[in-house]
Amino acid sequence: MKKIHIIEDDKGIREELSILLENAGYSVIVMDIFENASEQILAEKPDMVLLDINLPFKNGKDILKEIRRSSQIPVIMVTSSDAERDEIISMGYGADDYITKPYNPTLLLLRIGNIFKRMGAGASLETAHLGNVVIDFRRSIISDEGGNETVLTKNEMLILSHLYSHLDSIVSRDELMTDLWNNSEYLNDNALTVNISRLRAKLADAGLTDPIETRKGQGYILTKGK
Amino acid sequence: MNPKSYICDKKTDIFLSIFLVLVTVWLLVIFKVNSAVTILIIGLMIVVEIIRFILDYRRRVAFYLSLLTNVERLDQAYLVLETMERPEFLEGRLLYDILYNINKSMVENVNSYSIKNKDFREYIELWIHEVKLPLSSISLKLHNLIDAESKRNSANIELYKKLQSEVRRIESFVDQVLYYSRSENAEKDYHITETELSKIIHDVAMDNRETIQENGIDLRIEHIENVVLNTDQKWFSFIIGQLISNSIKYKKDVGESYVRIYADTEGYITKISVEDNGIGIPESDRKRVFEKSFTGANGIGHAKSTGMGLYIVKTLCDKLGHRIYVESEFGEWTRFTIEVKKNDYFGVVNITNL
Repeated sequence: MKKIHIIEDDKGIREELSILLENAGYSVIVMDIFENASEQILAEKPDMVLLDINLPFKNGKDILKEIRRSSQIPVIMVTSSDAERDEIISMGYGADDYITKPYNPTLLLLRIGNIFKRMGAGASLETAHLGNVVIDFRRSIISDEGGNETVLTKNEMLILSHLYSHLDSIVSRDELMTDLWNNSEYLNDNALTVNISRLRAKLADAGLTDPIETRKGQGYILTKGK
Repeated sequence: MNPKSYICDKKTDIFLSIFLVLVTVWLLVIFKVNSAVTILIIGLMIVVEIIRFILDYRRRVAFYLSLLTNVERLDQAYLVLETMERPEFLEGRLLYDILYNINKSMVENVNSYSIKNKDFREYIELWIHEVKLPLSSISLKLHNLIDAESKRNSANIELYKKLQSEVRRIESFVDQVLYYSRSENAEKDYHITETELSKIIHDVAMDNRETIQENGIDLRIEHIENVVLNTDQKWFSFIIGQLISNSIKYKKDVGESYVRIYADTEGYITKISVEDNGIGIPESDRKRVFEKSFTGANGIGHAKSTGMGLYIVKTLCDKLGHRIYVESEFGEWTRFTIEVKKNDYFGVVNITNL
């Protein structure tokens, strides 16, 4: 389980952020005393740091600078300041991302996920098996047992890869939407439904029965198929 | 100030001078002074009096004339004393000193307001950053609640979603205040860079996704690839966000609504349009939509218009040097277009750097 360190001095945000990240399957450490923040972070050895800028004792940018002297752990700056200067300085000091409050929680999770995905880029999936079906992520193609290939559209592929990366767990429509929009595909509600039924039809043609289940009021779940 | 008005003003002095000359003539005649001496004395007196008036006229006219013309020429009339020497003659000195003191007290007065104004603006900026913290906390809390409730299929979800959308409304009002305060700021706090339009549109779309989808709006983004603008990224995002939220506010109640954003480059000008198939703007209101606090027929009908959104948009566009205008057919569609000029400056800098 990936460990995320939250450095945020607003108690309300800190608590809710912990719940959000824990629900998303991360383990969370929070910082309560902000003295020697960078030493604390380095001692905890987290997989990622969410760092606020306005903090007691020392501001987030300086903490980031100190961490970067000895460590390359991913750092996302999360701040209520939308000053461009802060952003430029933070990115210059080596932040991996910069998000301004109030942020969209789904988007925050997506950005965190993207950074972890990027880090594991070497091992990124090119193909995967779903029952007897092979998914080729790079060529956006699925092929059945007999090697017959079906081309997926960009949207169908985005949906399938998002579902696949959350195999056997529920993905809400909201999450799918966030991911699609984040890839500059500005779908509306109907279009998402249409894309999912097309994707289902294509998977069914390839010989998978009902790999994508609908959980009413919750979202979709992709299983390995029968 | 011309000789005529001077003579008019000095008529008592001139009358007294003439009177003095006449009395002298009369006295000289009574005492039977030799007529040659009389003429000499009178002549001398007349010459001296005339020289006295001419000198006086010239001294004054020099001061008042330059005072008058400088006041007219100056862009900021109150700076006129900076362009003048303190005159030699008494009235001039008095006037100069009075003007100086009035000016000083006016400047002090204006300064005290501008300091108050600056303090207020700083407080607003600070306040906005503060208020964003509880807003973030609430929006996270609601997200977590919805997450937890959806696993139990609870009926509370609808309520939480409603609250979420209200929180988003507050967030957008807060942003409006921030940009209002910035747009009224005399100092330059924007930063023009070369920005990809697709990145701006992407950010705006992500920020407004829920609102767009809750309202069943179809967002159509067309022809924005490889379009680069010379603009301030944050300001421009705010502008596009305001235009989208206007389109949502004034959508038709029935039928499918869309917001279409597209760009079109011709020579040095890129036009970015935000178009919708909403209720449109009546022709009588179209010219005035950018005025401060203007709520036309639409605003009144919808009862949620502050008349500030488009005013702020216009002010920001003016500051950035972009032109904005609106076209519409009442009951059919509305299209806002922003014209952004390509700035040669960047090209020049790049060449000189080579």
